[in-house]
Amino acid sequence: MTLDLLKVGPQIARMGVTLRERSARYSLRLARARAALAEQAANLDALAKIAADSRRRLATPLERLDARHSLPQLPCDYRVIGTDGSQIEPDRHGIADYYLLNVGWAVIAYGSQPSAELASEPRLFFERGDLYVAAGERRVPVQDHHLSAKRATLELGTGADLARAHGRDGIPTLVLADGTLLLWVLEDRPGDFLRKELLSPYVEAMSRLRELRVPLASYVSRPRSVEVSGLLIEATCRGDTASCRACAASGEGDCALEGLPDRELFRDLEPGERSARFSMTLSEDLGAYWQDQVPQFFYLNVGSELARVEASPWTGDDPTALALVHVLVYEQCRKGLGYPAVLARAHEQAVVSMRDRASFQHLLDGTLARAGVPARSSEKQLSKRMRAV
Amino acid sequence: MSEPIGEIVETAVAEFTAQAYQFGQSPPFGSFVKVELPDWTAYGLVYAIRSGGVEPGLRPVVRGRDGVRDAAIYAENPDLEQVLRTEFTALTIGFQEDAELRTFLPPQPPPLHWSVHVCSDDEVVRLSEQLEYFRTVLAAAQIPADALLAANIRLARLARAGEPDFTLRAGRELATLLKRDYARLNGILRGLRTGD
Amino acid sequence: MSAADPFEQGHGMARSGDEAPLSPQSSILSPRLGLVVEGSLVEGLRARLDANSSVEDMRVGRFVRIAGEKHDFFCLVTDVRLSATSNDVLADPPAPEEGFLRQVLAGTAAYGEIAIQPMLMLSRESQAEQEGPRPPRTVPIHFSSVVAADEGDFERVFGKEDDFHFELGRPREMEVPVVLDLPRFVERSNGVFGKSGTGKSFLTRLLLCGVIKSGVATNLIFDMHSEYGWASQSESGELVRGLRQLFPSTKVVVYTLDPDSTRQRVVKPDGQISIGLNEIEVEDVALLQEELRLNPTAVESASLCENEFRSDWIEKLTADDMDVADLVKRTGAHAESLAALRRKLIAHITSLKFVKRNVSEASSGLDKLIADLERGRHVVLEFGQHRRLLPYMLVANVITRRIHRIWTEKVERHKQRQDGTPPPGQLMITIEEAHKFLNPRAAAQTIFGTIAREMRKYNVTLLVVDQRPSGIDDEVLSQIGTRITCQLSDDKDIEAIFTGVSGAGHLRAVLATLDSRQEAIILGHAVPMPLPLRIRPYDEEFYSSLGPWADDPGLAIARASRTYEQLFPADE
Repeated sequence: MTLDLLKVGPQIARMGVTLRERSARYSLRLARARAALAEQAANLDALAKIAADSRRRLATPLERLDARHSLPQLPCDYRVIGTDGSQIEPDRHGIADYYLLNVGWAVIAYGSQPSAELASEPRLFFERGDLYVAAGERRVPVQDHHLSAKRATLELGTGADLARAHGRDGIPTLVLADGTLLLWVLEDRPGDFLRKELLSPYVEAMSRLRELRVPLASYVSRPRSVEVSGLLIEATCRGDTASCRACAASGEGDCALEGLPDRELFRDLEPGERSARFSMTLSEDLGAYWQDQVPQFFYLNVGSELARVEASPWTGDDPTALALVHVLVYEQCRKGLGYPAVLARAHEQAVVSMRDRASFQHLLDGTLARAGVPARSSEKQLSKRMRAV
Repeated sequence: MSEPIGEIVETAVAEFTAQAYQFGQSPPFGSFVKVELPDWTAYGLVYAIRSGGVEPGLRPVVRGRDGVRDAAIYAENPDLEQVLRTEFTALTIGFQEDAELRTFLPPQPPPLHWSVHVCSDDEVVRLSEQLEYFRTVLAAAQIPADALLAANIRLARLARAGEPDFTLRAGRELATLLKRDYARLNGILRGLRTGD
Repeated sequence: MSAADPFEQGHGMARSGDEAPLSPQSSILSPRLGLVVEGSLVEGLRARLDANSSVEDMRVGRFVRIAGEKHDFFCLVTDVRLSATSNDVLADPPAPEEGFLRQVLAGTAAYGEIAIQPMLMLSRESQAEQEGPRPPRTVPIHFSSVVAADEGDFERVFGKEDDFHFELGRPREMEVPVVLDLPRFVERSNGVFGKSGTGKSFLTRLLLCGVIKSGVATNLIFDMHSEYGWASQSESGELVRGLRQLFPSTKVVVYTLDPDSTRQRVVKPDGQISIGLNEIEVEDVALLQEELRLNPTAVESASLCENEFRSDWIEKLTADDMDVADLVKRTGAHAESLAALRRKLIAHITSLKFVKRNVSEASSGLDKLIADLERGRHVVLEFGQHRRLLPYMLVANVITRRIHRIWTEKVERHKQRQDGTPPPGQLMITIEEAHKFLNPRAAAQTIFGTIAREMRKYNVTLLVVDQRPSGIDDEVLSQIGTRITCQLSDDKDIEAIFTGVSGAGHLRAVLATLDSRQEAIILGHAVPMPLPLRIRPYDEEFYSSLGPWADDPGLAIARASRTYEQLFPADE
């Protein structure tokens, strides 16, 4: 039953050849993509118009596309607040309707008086008002994307609370979130009453941070967004991607920019360097909810990867705050060995393990049984739980 | 009573494990610890101290670089002390019940989540009055019994300033217990000799 | 008397409960030395020493107590040895510089052992204690504590010093008097043994002082070297006092065979002894057989002469006009032997200054001496310059025979009449070089052998002082009640000391450890158990313990006693 390495060997050899060929083609593709970026680097107004007019979500450049900013000075004393969350999904087979959100956070002060606060706060939702989003006759159960949005709001709100509690001593403080600041999950359903219900509290939390003057940023690892490459396509192809002559002329039949993650465009950033700053561009109806809180982003070589860093607009527009985000995210990744330390800690605090889930379920079953609520766990759930214990 | 140093996270009649309330703040190897219960008090000798991530998945990685080493690593990463933990395990050597010190194992283990205290000098003096617990230690399997006893005797000697010959008495007790194992005895005694 | 006093202290002892076998005395005062681990009544016990007890403190002969479950056992340490729990220790001993290891291992992995011989046992039952210690009939239980005997233990066993209990010395390890039961002592013949220079005569002086002070017996001392009566020099050259200086002349009188010598020492003898030829019997000559180099036939000839001439036999035989050939014809004696006998008697006996050809009994002084003894006065008979064996043996034998005859008669009279005639007082006769009198050949024929064998029957006992106990007849030796033995080096002599003593094997080791001076082992009738002692010093302190008479030093005593004599003439 052992692996027959003799038979695998030739296959590996063939794979090597294929990969080498692909790599060579990719290098060529990247060179063309960058050439496109260089060509458009200073074309800011035109690009902004393209972004604003496009039906796709494209980036609006806020400075020359090929701008590079080296790492600013690290303040002596500073503080980073990170939040993350996890959830126990509503369980349709379970004995009761509920969901649980667990927000974990890390508040770490660096410098002359180092300290760290790591904690989490679980919240169980079971009231009707929590379980459903209702508007008149319509009632939508909170689950999946909606639950994620609720969670993101809770995380950000917690960040704001922590910033209020900690950020008043004059020490530079940054609130860092995990993933995108944009609740893109709601993009698909424009005009939906859900947006208002779910987005408003989120934007409101952002506003609280703005009032506190605490910079807000988020860290997107291995970003796959194509907002800049998409912009370049539209800029170079005149809106007609299918007939991109430059690409077609290469004889390879596909566009160098199509589907190319933005991060590939900024691959030549040195560690610590950040790219140009962009603003996200939202459709008008969506933008109405965001008002003046539409997030900005840039790419940053954190050493181990090219990450996308998003920031609230009032953070991006404030050079001091921007520099703080730049250097602290870089430093956090350094401390976190490739991923911001506060987010790693916050995640550890937030995560609900299988074991925890089982314990929670056990506690819940027991409590409800004592309260006289009949159990209705399915056999399937039961068997799952047995394994977990 | 002194502030507790840790809390029991694993327990058995013969030994109990506690997590130190502060990372890195374990009672020293070989020291006496106790768990005070309403009716009785368990006494143990710390024989193992381990540090690691607070959760099984959290595995410490090498962080030293660019001249940042040792204490500087902790200074630069204040969160480390929160996600690392120190556990210590104590071998139960006896218990006190009805004001009487018994040098055999208690009928029940000290319960989970009870606090563990470091014994005061006075208690160390009392516990080391009779050295019958040496037998328990020597008989314990899979613990560094010899080194443990040597460490314990060195610590007890500090508390027993009034008995200059304590080490000698302890050595003789060992010699009596290890009369059939001279090599082992010799090893422990050589560990006691330093600092004389 | 002896039973009640020693245990006075015992009555006050609190009895602890069953669970505490140690008597309170032991636990408080005596440190534990070790624990009994094995042994038997016959072979003795073996105890493992505690780590704190040094082997080097465990001298053989040490008096220890074992606190058994129901009895206290009083014992002697008879051997000390080194042992180890495992051969590994012996194979890999800690080096001298490894002080800590050595300290730890000594007493634990490597430890000391002592062999212990129980000598007495005493039940802890209160009524049993009244009866005093008994010879051991069992052994203590396993792991009984062995403790160093304390003062109380010595008193429980030996009793306290009082009028009839005389301190002879102290045990080696502590300052507590070990006393001799004097009434028991004088009941039987006793011996002081030890090779020369070990302090026999001091020991003897001590014993005599004790007996004199207590009055349990009257002493007659055949003082070969003139060292008991008046001051004499100790081995170290110091002048030590004689009995006559320590007691008034109403108690002690000194007779001499050699008035000139006595006077040279500026002391006045209380009497002078001469021996008439008619007082010398064949028995005396037989005793001197060796000294005179007589063959058995010559002794036989003497008997024939005595048959012929009765008490005048020597006078007749040694007369200038003696016709030996005629005598041979008449008596049938062997001619050459008779001639030799005559020659030797003339050369060695009739030539003695104190031997008079025809001494009337009244003037011999012997009657006076015996009268003194009868009155309870202690008599020292100095030999002056006649310090050779021959005159000593001759005189001792002649006098003792007389005394024995008188004492025997008195005792017999007392017995037959049973009318209240008092028996003669207890008399103790001290002889030196005793093996000359009591060797197997002599013992069979001389008066000393008779006395030794008869024991206390006629209230006469011997105190034999000797350096060659092996020369003494076994039967006599076995009748010696109390033996006080200084160092001996000859195996045969050591063997002889323990003749008739049970469990002597263990004591032999103890005897071997005696110091060459001032130490002795005492065993026998007058002590409950054998014990090695440091003999008490014969010094000023001792003198003053004897009473007011001993207080004034030197010859002042003699002057005082002369004054006393003038007031109370000795003849009264």
